[in-house]
Amino acid sequence: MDSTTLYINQTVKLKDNQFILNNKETLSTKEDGFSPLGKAAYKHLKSLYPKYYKMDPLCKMAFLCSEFILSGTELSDEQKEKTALIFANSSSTFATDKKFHAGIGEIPSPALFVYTLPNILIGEVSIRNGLKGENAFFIEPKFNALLLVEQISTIFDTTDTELCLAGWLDYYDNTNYEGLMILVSRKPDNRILNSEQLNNIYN
Amino acid sequence: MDELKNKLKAQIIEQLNLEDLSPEDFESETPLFGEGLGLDSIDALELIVLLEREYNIKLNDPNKGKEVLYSVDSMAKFILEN
Repeated sequence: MDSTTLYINQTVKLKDNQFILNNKETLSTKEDGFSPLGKAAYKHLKSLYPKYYKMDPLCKMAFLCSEFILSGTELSDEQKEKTALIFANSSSTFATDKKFHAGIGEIPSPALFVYTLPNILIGEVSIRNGLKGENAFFIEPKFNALLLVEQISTIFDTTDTELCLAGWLDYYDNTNYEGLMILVSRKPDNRILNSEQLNNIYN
Repeated sequence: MDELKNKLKAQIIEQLNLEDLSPEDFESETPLFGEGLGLDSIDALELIVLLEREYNIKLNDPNKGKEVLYSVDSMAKFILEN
């Protein structure tokens, strides 16, 4: 094993009204849409994190996926300093932008405005877990496994990163959303990080 | 007073886009900031806007802000006194 081999240790997928943790359906709702699924997931996780309610749907998706992935994992202070976060989507913060724009005629909402940047989801996950590593957010027209693999690999090669939370989180509206979050490290596992593997997990 | 508190809770939820929260989920004495509802300084701006828009009350003294916006109880008391 060379020092640059990276492995996908955990995955969580969010689509079709379900959360799938490491290929196993973990939570689902009969009702269509992210809103009921998010409520059910927050209750299931027992996160007890009041700031969750303020988040916009995109940040809620990121929060919930990270709660599933990191649940049961105790990160040391050093690991928190060395956990990177790399994400991408196609929607940016489209849904929140629309909502903010609709209110501009009256008094623009500061509470909405803070969510009109997609990298805020990195901030929310970082604050929740005390993560202080490198981070980046990319906008791509569709899921791009190669981009994510290259960016993750570069972060590990050029910094002292030990862990990386990464993925694709897209939210257009309550019924048009999808998410994939992975936890990557040098700890050997049966899934090596590469484009083919990531595309298989995504599809 | 109870009616005002319930109305305030609903208005706070709407103003701050707390979509998954309902008035029954928190008490009127729950601190709105920090450990309670987890609101922050950005949300304080929203609550000041709410007081002005819905109750025609301007919170001009920033030192009073912490006291007035502590909880739904304190906000209701302030509204009734003004």
